[in-house]
Amino acid sequence: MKVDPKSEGASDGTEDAHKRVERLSAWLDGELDAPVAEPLVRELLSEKALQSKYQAWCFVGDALRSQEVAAEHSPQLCARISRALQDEPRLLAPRALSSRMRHHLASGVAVAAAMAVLVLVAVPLLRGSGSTPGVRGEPTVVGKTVPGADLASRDAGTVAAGEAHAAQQPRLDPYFQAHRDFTPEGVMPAAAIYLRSGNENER
Amino acid sequence: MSERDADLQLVRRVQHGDKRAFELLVAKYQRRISRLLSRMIRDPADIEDVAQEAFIKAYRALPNFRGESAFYTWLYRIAINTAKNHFAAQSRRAPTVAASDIQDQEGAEEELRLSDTATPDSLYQSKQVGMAVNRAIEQLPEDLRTAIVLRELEGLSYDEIAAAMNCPVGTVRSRIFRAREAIAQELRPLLGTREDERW
Repeated sequence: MKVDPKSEGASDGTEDAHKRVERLSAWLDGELDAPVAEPLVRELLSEKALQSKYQAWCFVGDALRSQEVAAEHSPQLCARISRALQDEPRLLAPRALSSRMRHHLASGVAVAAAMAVLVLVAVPLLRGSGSTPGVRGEPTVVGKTVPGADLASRDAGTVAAGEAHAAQQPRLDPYFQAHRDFTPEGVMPAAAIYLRSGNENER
Repeated sequence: MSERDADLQLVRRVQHGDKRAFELLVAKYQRRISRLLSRMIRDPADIEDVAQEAFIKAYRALPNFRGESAFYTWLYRIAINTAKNHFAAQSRRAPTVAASDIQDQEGAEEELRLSDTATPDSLYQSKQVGMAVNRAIEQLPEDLRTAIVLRELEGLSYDEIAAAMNCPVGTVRSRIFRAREAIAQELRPLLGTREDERW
């Protein structure tokens, strides 16, 4: 048996070809960087001579590891599978990737839907221009009910509008002063505190 | 990049429509899958049928392969399930087979238990491979033999082999390549193809 004489340092005209098959051997071992591997894999897929090398080296690996495994070699099986593959449709995209994309899309749609609900329901309520009875009605009526009501159970817009008007009524100031430190239960507690503070400062 | 990544590179190409990449995966793993099946199925013709079915199933399922496991691990599971289906279909087709063979799930599991059911033909083939490999290894210069053994049998990386052999990684790469070429030359007659030929 002859060992390939073109060892390290070969310099004849076939050096490139030699280096290329050497790279293929390294790729088979997972020892080639991806940028170098990509064009090599393209060549492997299109050149039968490289495919023959690849096939022989896979066989060598199996034979070295286990002669029983290597003994299962069947060129007919490869040819059969190759023929059967011709009847199979070409895969166009990894479904795994698209399902992940679908998941992201679904998340996006959910966020968009939530935003739409916010825009359609909450914004008109906050502006007091919606058709919801609780908002179109006299704001002071809502405000009057605030002290005795359970704020957490109220609609966010109603509470915000109510608090804004209630804060403008001087008779409620002692109430707010007394409860300033105990009122973070609203839907937007932090905003409500700022709202009240602002109103108090204006007065 | 690892060996697993090299497989994944081929998988990604199949997932984007390149069937030739799948043929390379078949060429790489057909012996291991056939060996696995031969320990579950006695009839050599059935082994080839089930192996082909397993590979085609894998091809069809490949769009769902995300690369979370090694390709071979995933393929191995498909082959096992295909063998199970083969037993189930056999038991439906041949209800007169001895009840103890197919009576229940336990019977099917019994069939699946890996056993060594070597035929005289496979024993002969195995002996031929063994002799050819030994011949090839013995004729290799020591540095090439050490490099290929550390790689293929011990699974060492090129860096590790370079450290063990006290030489640059480029030399390891060259030695492994030359050893492969030399052994392939010896095994070529068993491969059933000429040097410029593939399957």
